[in-house]
Amino acid sequence: MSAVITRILELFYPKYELAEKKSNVKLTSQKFGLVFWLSLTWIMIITFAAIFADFLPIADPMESDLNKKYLGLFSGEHWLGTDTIGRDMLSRMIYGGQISLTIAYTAPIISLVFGLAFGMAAGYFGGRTDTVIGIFVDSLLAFPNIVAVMAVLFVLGANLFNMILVLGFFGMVNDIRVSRAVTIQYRNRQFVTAARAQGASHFRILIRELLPNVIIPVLALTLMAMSRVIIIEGALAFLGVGLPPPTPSWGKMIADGFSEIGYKPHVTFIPSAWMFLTILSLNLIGDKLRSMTDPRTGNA
Amino acid sequence: MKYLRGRFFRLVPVFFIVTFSSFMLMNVLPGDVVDTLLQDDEAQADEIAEIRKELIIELGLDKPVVVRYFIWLGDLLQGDFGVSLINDFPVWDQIVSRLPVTMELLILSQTLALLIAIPLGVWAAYRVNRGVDRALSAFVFGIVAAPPFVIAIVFIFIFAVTLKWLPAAGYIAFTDDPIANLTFFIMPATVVGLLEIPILMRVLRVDMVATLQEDYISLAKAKGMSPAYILFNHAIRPSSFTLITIVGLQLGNLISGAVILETIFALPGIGKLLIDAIDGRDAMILQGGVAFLALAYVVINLLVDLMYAVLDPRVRMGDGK
Repeated sequence: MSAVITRILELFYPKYELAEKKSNVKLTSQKFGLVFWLSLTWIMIITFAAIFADFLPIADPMESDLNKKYLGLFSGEHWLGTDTIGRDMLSRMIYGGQISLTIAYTAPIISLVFGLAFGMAAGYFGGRTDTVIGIFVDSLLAFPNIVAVMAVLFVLGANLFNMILVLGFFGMVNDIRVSRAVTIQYRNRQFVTAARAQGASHFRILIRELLPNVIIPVLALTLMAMSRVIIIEGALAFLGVGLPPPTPSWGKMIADGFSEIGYKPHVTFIPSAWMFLTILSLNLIGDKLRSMTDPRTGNA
Repeated sequence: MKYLRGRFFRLVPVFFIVTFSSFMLMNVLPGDVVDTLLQDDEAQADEIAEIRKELIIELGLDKPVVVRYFIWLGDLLQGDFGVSLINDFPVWDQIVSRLPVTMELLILSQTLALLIAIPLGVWAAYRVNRGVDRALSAFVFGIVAAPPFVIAIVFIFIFAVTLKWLPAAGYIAFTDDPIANLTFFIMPATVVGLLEIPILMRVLRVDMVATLQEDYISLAKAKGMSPAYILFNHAIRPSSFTLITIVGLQLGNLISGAVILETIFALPGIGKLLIDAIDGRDAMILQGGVAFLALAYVVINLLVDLMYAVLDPRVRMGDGK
């Protein structure tokens, strides 16, 4: 597994850059550390559980049993207990992951693609292009994101597709900023000048020379973006303006349990902890990738 | 001053883009407002068609959407934010009545965040890569991974449900009872502040680490000045530029946080107003509210740029960045 990740990183990371930084730099598995592998394992487990939820031997997430409300942890066949109307929590967490994870795996990709395009254009061409894109970024920042997402969902309809589009659109800001900054760092380097001297077009320079250098820090950012969209989706569901019921959703489950927090706090804390672990894992993976590929911190 | 002028000409288009897109968003589906207004009407079908036509003309919905935008913007720049479509109250009055709540929340949380983030950021930079620095970054990781509403729930559980020290939710005006007012604000302000601390701390730490490697810091050390004096008198000012920028840029983010927390803690602020406007399909409130927030964003970021000029002579002289 680690060999695969190393290979992917090496693929994106040009040899001359590695050689320039430190002579003995090689991305090896021990550098990832235990925390990284635990995080990755957690993300893999919930991802595969969500994908194959229908085939897993778990209870129906919709089936409620009013005689078995508010069961605690490890009560019989309900490992994570039951919720306010006696539905199996574990099963609902797994099914709830389908929404959150679908959004987490798609919206940041939209941000990534458009963010790279705008950010690299701004950094590479500078001048007026940079100003226009800068104004665009400032406008995105001036829009309170949660309000914007809610308004768009309200006008266009609260469905998964719209939610992915809106979250992807507003998530562009960070990708644009980072790819612009990194592009500026590289645009006057010798290998770019050399390519230009050989008569390479702007497009070719951007794609063949700059993109491989820009994409790594932006990819690390994408993992943070995954956790960001999970938080926003959760917040919307919590406020009751997310996707319509009966779709189980982590934010919705936290909201359901919240009303009974004085009586049976575990019903709200189990989904909270589940979300926390997921976001923490994504952030830890992203941070590891970032620190491994950030020239300033070297390979710390 | 040239720098400030440049910033000004960059921030003005931002205001237009944000107001225009929010206006367009709320107006792409014509007739919805009219439907909302008519849904309680008990008139006959043919009468409804008649009333509908009158309403459309009365609200100016027969004009092209771009024309409507400029009419609305013209009024807005003269201080007329229009009238709510649902309850006929002027939008401006509703914003003004909600403003103190949101302002108090943002000011309290921002002050709290700066009070905690500055010393911690300086400390982490002073002991970079040592135990303290590591512990602080672990703490930051924990905070960042917790969604704001989850932190709020944990707070409510600890301080309101279990210890019963603080009220779980509610609001009393500061002028009515200052102490009770503050008890209602402790939890939401702390949660919004906690969302800010990681960002502010990280930014200050990075800049501070760079500043501490400057020659004049070594000179100050050689002269025998105490670490605290060096950190807070020599190093902090040149290290605070990114911090100040971030404070301005984070405003939009803060408002997003405020929207969630105002709802959880039942604070009648701007965020709550906007959520209710979305619920009630009140386009005028939503447009006005977003325009107001965009204007606030522009003004605050200009103030931040002014701060630059105050703090950094290079910017003041005009040859700055």
